[in-house]
Amino acid sequence: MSFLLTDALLNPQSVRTLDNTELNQLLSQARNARLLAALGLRLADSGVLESLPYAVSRHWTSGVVIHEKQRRDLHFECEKILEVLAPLGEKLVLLKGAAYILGNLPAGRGRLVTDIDIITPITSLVRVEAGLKQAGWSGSPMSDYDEHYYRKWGHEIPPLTNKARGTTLDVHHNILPPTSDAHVDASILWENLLEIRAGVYTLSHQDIVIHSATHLFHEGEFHHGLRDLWDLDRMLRDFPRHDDDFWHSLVSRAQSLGLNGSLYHALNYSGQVFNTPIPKEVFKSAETPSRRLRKPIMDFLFKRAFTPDPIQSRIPFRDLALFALYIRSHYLRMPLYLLLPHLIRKAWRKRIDTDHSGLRTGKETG
Amino acid sequence: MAILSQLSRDEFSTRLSVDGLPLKVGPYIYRVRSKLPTVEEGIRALYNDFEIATDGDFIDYDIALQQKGLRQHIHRQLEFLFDGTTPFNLIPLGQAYAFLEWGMNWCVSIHANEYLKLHAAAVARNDSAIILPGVPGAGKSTLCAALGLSGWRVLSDEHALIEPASGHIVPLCRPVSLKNESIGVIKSFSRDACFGPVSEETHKGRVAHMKADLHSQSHQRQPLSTTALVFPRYSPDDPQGLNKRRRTDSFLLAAYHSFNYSLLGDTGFNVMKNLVDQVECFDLIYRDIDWAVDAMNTLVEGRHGA
Amino acid sequence: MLNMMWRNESKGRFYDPGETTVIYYDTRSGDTHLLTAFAAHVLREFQTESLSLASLITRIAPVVDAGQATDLQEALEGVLSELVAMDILKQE
Repeated sequence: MSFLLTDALLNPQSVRTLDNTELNQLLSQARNARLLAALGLRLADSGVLESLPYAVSRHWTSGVVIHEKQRRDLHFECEKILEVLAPLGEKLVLLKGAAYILGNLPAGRGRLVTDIDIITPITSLVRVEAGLKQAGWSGSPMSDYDEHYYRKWGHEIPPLTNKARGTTLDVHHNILPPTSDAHVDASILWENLLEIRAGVYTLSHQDIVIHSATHLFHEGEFHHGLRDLWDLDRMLRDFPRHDDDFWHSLVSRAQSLGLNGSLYHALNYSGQVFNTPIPKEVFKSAETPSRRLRKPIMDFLFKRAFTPDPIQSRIPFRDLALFALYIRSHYLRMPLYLLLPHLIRKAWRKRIDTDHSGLRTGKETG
Repeated sequence: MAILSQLSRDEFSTRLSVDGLPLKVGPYIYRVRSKLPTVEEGIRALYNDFEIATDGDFIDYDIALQQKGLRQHIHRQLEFLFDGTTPFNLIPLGQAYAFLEWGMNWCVSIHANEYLKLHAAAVARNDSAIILPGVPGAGKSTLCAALGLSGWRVLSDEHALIEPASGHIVPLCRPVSLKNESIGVIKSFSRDACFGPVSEETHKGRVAHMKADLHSQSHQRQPLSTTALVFPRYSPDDPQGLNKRRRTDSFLLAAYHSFNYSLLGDTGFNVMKNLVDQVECFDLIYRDIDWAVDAMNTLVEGRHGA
Repeated sequence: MLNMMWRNESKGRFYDPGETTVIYYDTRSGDTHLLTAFAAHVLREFQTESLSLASLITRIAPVVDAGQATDLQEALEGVLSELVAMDILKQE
């Protein structure tokens, strides 16, 4: 699979030879995939950005400005959250984008975030939530049904928003919902935390990869599919450099968490889309006969989810593929009797929301 | 260099409805595509003197307004496309033209961060620019339109783009958006005012756009230095006046209503500081538009306070 | 109270054109504040070091009118608590 965007991300020098029409396509793919800032920094780091005409390069630098603002805000929010958690004796453990950015991981270069994800032991959840609420974080009004759904079947509490600063915080207690067929013992996530600064942690490198793979292939978050796959590619290229045992421990960790299925997909599609160098024996060890058998149909579905091009994305196939993947991932994480009412509610609520919300826009992007 | 008015009627329609018409607007190129008669009529009326970009030029903002499918036709709705995606909900057909202009603003508001973008109109006389920041409804557009009809050059109705390196304002001249009563105010202010299609029942009420590139230098791109920040406020009750105001709270007000002051961080602060420090700041409270135009003339001719 | 210490967390920038108010841009939170000239003066004292209320009073006293000096502690306590509420100063 090759797109202007994936080529440009992997080989920024290739952008030098593009004509304006191709540059326009690349810009629109990068915006659509939420990879404008990531590509902007790749182009800047490789000296390509300065060789482009100003009328072109300014779009990438404008995207980088948003990433840099988010990075500064994350530093500050992190301090404010730490002010709540530290007195409670709780560690601040960052997940996803916030972890990549503040952990200075290659996946954090140009990464955009929409909210801050943290994880806390389920036994601490009540006091962490109370502490955050006391410090100005509050839940937004939601229907009893949604609230009940989150509390009972979710792996995170309903999102908390800081009214003064407008930032959203997702507090997780596990990386997968308890309804999932794969049951994750969250307590073992705390064994190998990495301290990135005083009191602030991320999961171990292996667990970060597994969580990222799980989020994408188990939870049905495909709308930023290509971006998430880029995260995985960056990590899978970088982490083995710091740890000779990385690949081996990654596979065995995924097995002990019961998440080797997601890892298999992550390795498969990161390799297919970004040519991520993955040792053959690692890929083999994550494969099972049934996965091999289903690979063609899964490839058909997933590859359409990783299309960066908005024009192509209007081919009906993509929506169909995304919907099929959504059902699939809901099927993976919930018993069937739960799945149906929830999907119906979701669709119904979404209709009500769109009818009343008017324009979906803000004055300043965050 | 080709100007829109040089295209034949057929060529104009074909390009607008098929490939999109690449319009040069200030520092940007918009490619606008639509088959809707009201869009064609509006572009014809308001952008006739704009330059068309050459085939193969880099397009900054690719936009389209289209009615797709039976459902949209039955419900008299249409969709706005940016880069082929639909960032907004469906739009009632009657608001098509207002939404096109609004969408063109949105492109700059959301994507451009190479400038400090103030939410402001900007005008110029004798190469000195005056920025008119204003909350919606404060009367900045009405004043901007009246000045445009009185020999002033309109630099922008919505975005004052400040170039960080020089601190100068970059012209982005587009039609001026007028709402409700101000449409009548401007029509009676000057018979020369030329309007595009009227959109009814938008979230801002009745909206019409006025052709604003009436000055011989309207389409020049050189950045200009700014001499004053004037905060206009239409008020039927308060005494009219052009009064000096503090730089510090002018800073705060303009920054608060900026699109990207806080996004730019250090740069935002430095650019705003240098701008506010080099200009005079005023409140302009008016109820009579002729009086307000006079006050602005006085200001630029250096007679104010003399 | 007099021995409590405050420190400036933010290391921000001032824009002070000599009016009754001063702009303060807090580089840490990204917020921009409009401070009274008095609050800005107090804040500047913290640019290089942490201070107790007692030492702050000693520094500020010479620049305020003798007639106001009696209320100085109260005024400073008010300013300090506002600067804390704005995330600019932190009590140690």
